[in-house]
Amino acid sequence: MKFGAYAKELRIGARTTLREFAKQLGKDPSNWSKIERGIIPPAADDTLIPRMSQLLNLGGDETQKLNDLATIARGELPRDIEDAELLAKMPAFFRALKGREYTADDLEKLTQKIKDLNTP
Amino acid sequence: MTYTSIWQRVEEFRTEHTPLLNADKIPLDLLKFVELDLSLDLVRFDGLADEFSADAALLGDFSGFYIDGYIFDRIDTASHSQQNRLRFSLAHELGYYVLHKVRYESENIADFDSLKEWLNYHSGDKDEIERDANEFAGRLLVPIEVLEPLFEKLAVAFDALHGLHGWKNRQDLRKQTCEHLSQKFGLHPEGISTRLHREGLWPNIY
Repeated sequence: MKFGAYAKELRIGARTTLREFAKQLGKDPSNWSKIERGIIPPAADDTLIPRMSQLLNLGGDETQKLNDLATIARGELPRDIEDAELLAKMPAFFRALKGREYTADDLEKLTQKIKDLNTP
Repeated sequence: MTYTSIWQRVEEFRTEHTPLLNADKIPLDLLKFVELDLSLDLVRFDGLADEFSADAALLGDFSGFYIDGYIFDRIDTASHSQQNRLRFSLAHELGYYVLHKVRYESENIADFDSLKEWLNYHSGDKDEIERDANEFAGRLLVPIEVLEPLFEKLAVAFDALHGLHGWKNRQDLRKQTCEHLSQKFGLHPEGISTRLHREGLWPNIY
């Protein structure tokens, strides 16, 4: 399991929304969302894991695991998103642009936006 | 899908996710439900509403929803009208999630051209998938077991004031009824009007 997925699991276990949790941590919710989704690593901040541990009321093992996963995540190189991954992040259904068809330009604009949201 | 089969799926879904979707939780807090009970991601998307005319959109891997950035930043302080709009949008997207996941996955969309074709084919309110999602959203947000007694209570008062059943044919009183119920369910009055028609609680007027 990666740091972001584990952090999300612990947060949901504590019944705290991402926005609430990011606010308590003093982080931007969009950035924290990227961390939880594994797009960017957590910042190299010595106070982060202890604060998460306190806010989520974690035990020693959980805190240690979080710390270890954070170290691994910080060591990974950022990578570009592949087409198949990007396609999976595109909207499956879209109520937008009623009454007219999507053009190649519309889709290109949408694709770029989705790419930005899913890359570092 | 028939209305009956959609309603049945809504009630199954509500039961599967007791108590957050229970009738006593009206108006439903779908943002919290989606995040904490379905463990889905809510991803802030700048310009989703302005550039793509949508408040929310389900990701193709069904891992979460994009939410318009302007609304996302103001969820707690947004007007009732904005909150109601987002509530319906999320309920609509949940409709896709619950009713259409299998269908979407069976399409095996493998490239952007196929995706464009799929999106273009299923756009507009008259499309079956859109109608299904709208019906799912309406029934989810307005449970019949809550709507019916509330409406009957109002009807008794209106019968006394405006004559037995005659008021149901008056546009002004219908509007008043919908606006009153709108506050209870956290849904736009037009959505309430649709529910009252669909559930057979008031007659068509021409």
